Amino acid sequence: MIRAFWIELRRSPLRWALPVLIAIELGMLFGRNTDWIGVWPQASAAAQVPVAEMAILLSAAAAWSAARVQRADGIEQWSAVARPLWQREAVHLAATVVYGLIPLLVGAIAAAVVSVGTAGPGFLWPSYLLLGATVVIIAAALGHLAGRLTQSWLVPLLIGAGVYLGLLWFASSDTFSFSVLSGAPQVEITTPALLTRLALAVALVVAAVGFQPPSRSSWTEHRYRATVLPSLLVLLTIVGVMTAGPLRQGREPPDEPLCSDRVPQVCIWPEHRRHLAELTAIAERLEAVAASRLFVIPESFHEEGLRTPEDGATFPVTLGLWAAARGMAYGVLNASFGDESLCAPATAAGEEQQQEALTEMLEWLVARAWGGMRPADYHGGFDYDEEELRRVLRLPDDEQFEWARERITTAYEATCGA
Amino acid sequence: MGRNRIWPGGRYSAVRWWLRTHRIWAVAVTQLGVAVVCAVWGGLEMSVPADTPQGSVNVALWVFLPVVAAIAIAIGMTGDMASFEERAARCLLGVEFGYLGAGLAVTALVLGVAAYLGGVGDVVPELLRNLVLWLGLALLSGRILGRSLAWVAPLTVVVPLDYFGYDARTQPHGWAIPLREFDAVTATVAVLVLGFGLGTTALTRWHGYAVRRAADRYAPRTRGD
Repeated sequence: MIRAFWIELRRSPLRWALPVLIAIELGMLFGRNTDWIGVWPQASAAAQVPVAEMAILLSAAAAWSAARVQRADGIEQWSAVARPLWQREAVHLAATVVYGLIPLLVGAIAAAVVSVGTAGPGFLWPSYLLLGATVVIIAAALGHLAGRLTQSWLVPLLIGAGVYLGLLWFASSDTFSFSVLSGAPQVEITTPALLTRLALAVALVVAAVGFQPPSRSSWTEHRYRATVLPSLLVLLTIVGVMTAGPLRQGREPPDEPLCSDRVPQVCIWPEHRRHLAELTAIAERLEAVAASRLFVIPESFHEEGLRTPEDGATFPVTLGLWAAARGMAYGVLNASFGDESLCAPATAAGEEQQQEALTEMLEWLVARAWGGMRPADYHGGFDYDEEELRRVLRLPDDEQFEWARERITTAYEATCGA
Repeated sequence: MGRNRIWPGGRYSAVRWWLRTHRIWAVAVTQLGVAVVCAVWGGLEMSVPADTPQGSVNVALWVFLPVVAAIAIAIGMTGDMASFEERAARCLLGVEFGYLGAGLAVTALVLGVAAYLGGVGDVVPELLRNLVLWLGLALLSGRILGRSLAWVAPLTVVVPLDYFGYDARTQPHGWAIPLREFDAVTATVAVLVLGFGLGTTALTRWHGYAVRRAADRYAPRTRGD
């Protein structure tokens, strides 16, 4: 059998698709935002992202490959082979699956190599890679089954488009998604979700391998078993996936988060170790604003998920460092003017005036924390005068603080009266 | 009468014969299915992984439908007698081009109506332009790899196109023609691609032989004779 497997591997039409699949994997891995480098769960998820995109080609090519017997008019010869049908099909499908797994493996190795220098302790999370492998097996098995079911030339097209659109469609569903876009350390794939998806992949493999082509015989007991049992198995595992709950759940925060030894302290998830120095610098730039005696700087800044909102404000890291700086600036505003220190505005005009003053001050704080204007990558939803902010940032510190004091006065006057 | 000897029953039965051996009914069923999907879910936005700061971009389902419809038309060019048809009688080419024209027209009509019914009537120009563009690419793929492999090039291109086709502001890049709004430039590109696909389809294996024979005849003889 192992020799047959090598022959299948050498003869598979997917060998022509392999360079394309590897190019898709690596192109998509490094061709977009590379913030994942150096964060193990993010790197694992990033290696898995292109798999759903490869599925379109993989399932189409699997269908094309599986239909080879009919295509070559080899049904007579094929039915006379000594080995049982399911063994031959299993070897054939195995070769297809291997061609699907190689790009994922290449991507995972590449992600590990570029991450290992900066990521600190730990390694790629197997759960994300297993999820990717599951999608590879599902796409290959569905394609193989479709190719054997009918002899239409349209099958590769239909199964490829169907698998791809199905994966996209389900991606937004909590309980039936098969892929993730990123791997924040705050969440992890649940074991039941992963196991049920693997079970579905195995059931589809059984169906693809066990299927008996109609030309072979009448409705015998054997054919009944080879068709009805796998179908039931597939249905059962689909129900299993749907009842296994969401694909991912929140992780327990670590007992000892990774914290800087400066004041104000910055605490993050250990997986984000790579960003600690930059975040500490942001916190120190915020601390410099304390000289204005206008703001209360919190003693510590915590990343999302490390404490509950009742315990204090948190900031995100997964959305990029500018978003982190913004979250920390927001924490400063909250600590300074949170809850009771500002009155509730009495009129709509007052509320608008207060919002405008606070927005201007927030954006000024963010720019101070970040050390410059908003990067071009972030856009939309920010309504303030950028030219005015640039002008203010060029002023000496004293005049900037005076400008900020005016904003605060406006915010108070708008609500509590002069 | 000469034609009748090759095509018993006259020209129209030849068309019927061609449609049957090419299983065009399957193509028609596929187009109907695509139209139904377009009418029901055409405007549905799906989050697609992309090279944007968010790592994804919302793409409406209708963007993918002309790819499927166009490939289906191109796959209709393959048939049970594909190897015989490579002999390329000129009247067969007429039937084939008639099929492509009629297939494109009917699909465009059905897809357009479906998009209108599905509440995405404003993207009908883009839908039809993309149908033309993808058909050109599918024909080209079928010409190079064999007609039943017309799906290879479009399905290989469509995924990286959606992935890399948007800039940081989630606006399509200039080169991402199928993602751009309809205008004269993108329409011209689509028509040119279709023209190229049709041209290469018309150049059959016989033309290759003819060119080679002519080259043999006029090439300076370096050995033999």
